[in-house]
Amino acid sequence: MGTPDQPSLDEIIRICSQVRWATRLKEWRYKDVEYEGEVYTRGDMLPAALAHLLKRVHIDGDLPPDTTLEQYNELIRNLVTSSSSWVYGFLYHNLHPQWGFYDPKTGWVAAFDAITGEVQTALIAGEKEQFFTKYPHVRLR
Amino acid sequence: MKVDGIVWQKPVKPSPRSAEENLQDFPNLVRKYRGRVLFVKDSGLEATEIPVFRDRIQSAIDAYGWDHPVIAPFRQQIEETDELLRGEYGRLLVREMDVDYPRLRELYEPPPSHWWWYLDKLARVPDRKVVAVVVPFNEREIEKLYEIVDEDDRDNALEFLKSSVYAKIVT
Repeated sequence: MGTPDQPSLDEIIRICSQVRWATRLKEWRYKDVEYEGEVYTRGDMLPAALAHLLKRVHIDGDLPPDTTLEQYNELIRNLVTSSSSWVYGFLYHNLHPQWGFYDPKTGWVAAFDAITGEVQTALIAGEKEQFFTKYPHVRLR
Repeated sequence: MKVDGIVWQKPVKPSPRSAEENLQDFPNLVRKYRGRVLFVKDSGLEATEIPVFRDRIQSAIDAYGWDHPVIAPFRQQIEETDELLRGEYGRLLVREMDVDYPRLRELYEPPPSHWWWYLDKLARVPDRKVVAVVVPFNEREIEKLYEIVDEDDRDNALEFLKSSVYAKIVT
């Protein structure tokens, strides 16, 4: 990356640090959960960012229950901008270019669509850097 | 591999975690496995974690058994989630999430018994209703079954039943 067609590392970090979420809604398919006084039940349609946050809190258990969307986005931004994060480009199923960030201290990863710049998934901690390296990949930092 | 002027490194086969690590992480693994299955439509990237988490669960079960005090409380939840994945959710995953199972199998080299890596193949099996299950236990029962098979098919039917642990009769 860094060619005329591909953004530089600084540009990738700038785009991803905006933490832009897709506008489509996601269906909540788990037990009832509460966020800022609102109870969400199975079948409710949630904004993508909130759905991802609630999954990280209530399913993965990797974030405390009182984490707000603002805090979640800030944690993602910190992961993207931290100089200690590893940065990858990878091809989801050989076709769809993505950018990935991995913090070796926390084990967290975040992935962004390289075409739209939108968050694909953020702050999951299952596979560490293997989340990216199981695809064709290039480490950018 | 060169795509769009970038030299991509080949996928790296992930190193498996030890059964001990998986046991320590067991409740967490089960919760994540169930969550990834329930939310299969959310993210293809997250959906590719499903077989990885299920492998880790199986590694602990294989090493310590279902009766281990850490594992036993989760048996029902794992089996229910497996059922979802083998059925509606697995088909949804294959149909809508574009997970490249052949490529993942090439990378992870899972054994055939780990069916969660073969959802694309399972999805191709027609969704038939099981109306009866025949379980031949011994020669006498096989002989009884032999009696009810049409005369023209007796030889084939007997050979089939003798070599089967069970046979499903489907419509």
